[in-house]
Amino acid sequence: MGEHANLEKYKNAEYVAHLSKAIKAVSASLGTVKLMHVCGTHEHEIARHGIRQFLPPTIQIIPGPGCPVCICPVESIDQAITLAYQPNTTVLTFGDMVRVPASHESLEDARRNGGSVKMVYSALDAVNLARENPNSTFVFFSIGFETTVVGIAGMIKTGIPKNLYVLLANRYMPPVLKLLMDVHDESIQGFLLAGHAATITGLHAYDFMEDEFQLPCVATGFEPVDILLGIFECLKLIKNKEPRIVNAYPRAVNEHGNTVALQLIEDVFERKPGIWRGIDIVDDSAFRIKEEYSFLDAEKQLDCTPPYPPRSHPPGCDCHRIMLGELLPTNCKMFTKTCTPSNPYGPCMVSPEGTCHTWFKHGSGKISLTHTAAHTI
Amino acid sequence: MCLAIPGKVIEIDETIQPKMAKVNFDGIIKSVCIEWTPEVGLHDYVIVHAGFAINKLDEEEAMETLKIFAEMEASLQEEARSMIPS
Repeated sequence: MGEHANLEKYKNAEYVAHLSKAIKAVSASLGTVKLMHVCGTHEHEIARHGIRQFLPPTIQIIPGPGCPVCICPVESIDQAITLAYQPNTTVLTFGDMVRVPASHESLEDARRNGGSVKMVYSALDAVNLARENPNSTFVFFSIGFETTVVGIAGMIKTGIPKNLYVLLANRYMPPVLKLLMDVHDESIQGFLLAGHAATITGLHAYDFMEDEFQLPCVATGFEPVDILLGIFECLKLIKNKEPRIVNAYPRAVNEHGNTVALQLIEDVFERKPGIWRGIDIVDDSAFRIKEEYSFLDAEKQLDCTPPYPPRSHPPGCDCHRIMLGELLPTNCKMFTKTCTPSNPYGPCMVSPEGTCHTWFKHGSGKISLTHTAAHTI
Repeated sequence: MCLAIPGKVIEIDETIQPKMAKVNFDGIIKSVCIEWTPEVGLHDYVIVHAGFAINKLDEEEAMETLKIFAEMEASLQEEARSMIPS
């Protein structure tokens, strides 16, 4: 086994070809099937590897609200911008967040206009910066799903310098699936669950999909073979009328998740209803800092109320409908014309995990003549 | 930023809190916090997100998945043979 944990096998062209045949066979009697994934990395890998070309035209894989930068509420970015203008205060955040347009400007604009904003790779970098500069105030603007929350919770639990605060805008994925069922009038026939979010929560966090909606969900990995296996398993469940939660990524996901990480998250955070940008308020989906840690909660300790009302989407922007899977990037009049990665108009074009950014870079993945496995089928 | 990638633990430093490790990502070595994946040991594979290990990769399960593919291959070949008119 090499340093990459056998990953080459999961890119194997023969397995891809066999899975493609198996998917055609299992879907032959199914008619049109709409599956949704809820992970920006899934869309990125599907487009990059041209996965859709290995599927019959009747099998639609719709990108859902899986880009954490895109769904981050504009209200939170406005708060971060307000803090960036406070004297002796620096806002620290992940690189993708800096260019996202908020109500009036982005964090990058704020930095140009005199605000203090720095990019960090990890919450650990925020701790180190605060430690090295004890006379300055730092705010870590935290966004992301379950995967990111572990590190933030750990950082808080371990203890952070007194001059570091946390502005928390993290979101919890499972409850948004209920909203998606409603928005799509229950026309979605199955979900591909984000494998790395599920490595934290375990499969049980999605049991309600089986109990309430009788809908198949499959925890899915990120290599080409993993993704096709997830699709194949989901189609098999649909065909056999078995609305179960299945694990197609067993090397990373189990029933109960990372129990140490889950306990840590529970110790530090609670969950409340929270806004998903341009989508809605989703019950039980926003992580909040528990009262006992309120001394480091930027919302409670610092003045972060912006002097203007929030505006989620600039006029004509369809990002919210793209995040919900109601529209594809190619349905948006601005896509590739007045909205590009170098000059993004909406959040889905900013982040490399946004569907528009991915489609701009790789196409929708339907045509990929250079794909290594193309000659095998 | 949601991206999580697998790497191999090549060194563990137990002396600091939180516990840190050196992880090899296909030749690139980075410092990673492994405090909240306590079962992780030297030479294990971990999934890493934004500087933190979020879970261990289970090699036995990985081999199981690969076995499923091998079986699928065999059954597809069987199917192909059965379709040839005798």
